[in-house]
Amino acid sequence: MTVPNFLSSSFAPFRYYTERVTDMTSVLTTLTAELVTNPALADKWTEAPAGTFQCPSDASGRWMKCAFTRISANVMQMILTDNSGNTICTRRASGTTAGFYATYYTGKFHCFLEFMSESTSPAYNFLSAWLMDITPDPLASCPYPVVGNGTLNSGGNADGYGVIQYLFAVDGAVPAATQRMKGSATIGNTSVNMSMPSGRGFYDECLISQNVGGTIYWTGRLCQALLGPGLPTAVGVETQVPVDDGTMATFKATLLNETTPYRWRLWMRKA
Amino acid sequence: MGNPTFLDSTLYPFRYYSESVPANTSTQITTTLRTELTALSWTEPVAKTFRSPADAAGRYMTLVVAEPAANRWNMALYDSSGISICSRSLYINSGSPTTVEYYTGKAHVLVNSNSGSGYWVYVFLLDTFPDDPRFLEHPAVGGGSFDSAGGVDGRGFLDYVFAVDNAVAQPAVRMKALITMNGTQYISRMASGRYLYVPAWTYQLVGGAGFPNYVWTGKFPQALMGPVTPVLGTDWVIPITYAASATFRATSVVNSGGTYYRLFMRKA
Repeated sequence: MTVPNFLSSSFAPFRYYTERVTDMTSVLTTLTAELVTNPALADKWTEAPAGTFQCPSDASGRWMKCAFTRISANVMQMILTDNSGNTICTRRASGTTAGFYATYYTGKFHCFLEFMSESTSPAYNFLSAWLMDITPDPLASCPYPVVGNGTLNSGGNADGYGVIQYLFAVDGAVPAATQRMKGSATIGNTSVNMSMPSGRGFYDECLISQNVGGTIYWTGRLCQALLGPGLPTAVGVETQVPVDDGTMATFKATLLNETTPYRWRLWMRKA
Repeated sequence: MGNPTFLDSTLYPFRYYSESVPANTSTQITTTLRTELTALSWTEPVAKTFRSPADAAGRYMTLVVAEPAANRWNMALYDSSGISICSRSLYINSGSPTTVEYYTGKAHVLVNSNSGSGYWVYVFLLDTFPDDPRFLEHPAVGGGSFDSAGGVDGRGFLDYVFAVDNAVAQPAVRMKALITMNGTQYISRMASGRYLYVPAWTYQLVGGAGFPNYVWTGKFPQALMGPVTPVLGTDWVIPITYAASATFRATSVVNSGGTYYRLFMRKA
């Protein structure tokens, strides 16, 4: 069996980097390195103007643009737009003024940032952007493949959308936040823990739904991301997941988990 | 993720057979099933008691079949611990022949009677990949249209799977759904219009009571859960990897109300 495209390192190449920072200026510098400078030529994002990054186009010419703005030393804003001119979302994330750890999960079709404060609240914040993979279905069947989110709204406040359940995307022709991701439940909607009898985590594709032409369909998968167990797994734990009959990949537990009952967490590809 | 071991024809060899069973001849089902299972290395230590080959952890299923009436056929499932998982029945026609289909394998049996709206019984020894099978103590599951007395008990749907939760065999709505996190949207199609066919994952309660111990325990070998829409008995060529496809056949096993899902069995 071949690796599915959304986990293929050739289809959706990826990078990982983490550092301690005290000012979002450093984050912007590192984003330039991780998105523009360091990737292979075919996988490079472009940056124009400074802080605004555009990913490579998919096979149908679609792309996304992440415009990052340093609001303050410890607050970053991202405006996510698509190639159709839609503003998918404007979200913010903050660290602590004393300093925080910034982790960059980046790739040709994704940019997931998490800021982990060293002590006081807010402990974890994130910003995310994806150009989804809908293969092997025709790309044109998903006219708006860009999705994203972040912990805080454009005013810097928690609005209830900054959790794993919600993603901003275009429904019909209008960007909106809704619970789009496939969950872990039975036909009767009984929640089932994302684990197996040995205690091994149960990892699943992040399959996303949107309203297309008045009907809700599955429209794509988040590249280099998996939905996996929430608690008791801690942020930063790494695990090996088989992505093929002969290929193991390393995924890392992100901060983005569900609150009570902690069923789900986003796991990002590290290696 | 990973290799679809549950569809691997080396790990899980399979057979398909269809025949017209004369009216009021439920014994014919036993006769044919014997032929099919023997070809797959099942044994019959006692007449009408069939034992499956053991899995990698030494577990097996024991089926005790019976013909309690000329138009009713029954199959009782026991696991290798001796636990009685379930006893379920199907009917065939009394006044005319019935087309009966046999989907069999090293780790599964599904008998589908095309009588009425379609009646069925099944058993599976779950494929636990990527987990080590030794961690699942009770991998045998079963189900069927009617209870052991041939009555309707509300359990004759895809939703309900009989399995062991901790040490107690019971029916529960166990099948994994294509459903959004908030449980409000059952979605069976991609935006292209293509229906999704997914592994038939089931959960069991393992290691205690309550939510944290509801865990996904395994998949039905040589089976997929797909949309309810395709007509019973039609064949569908479905990609099982990026490079290979296989033929699956729409069975009578649908979810309650026939709203979303149908079980498809490997035919070729």
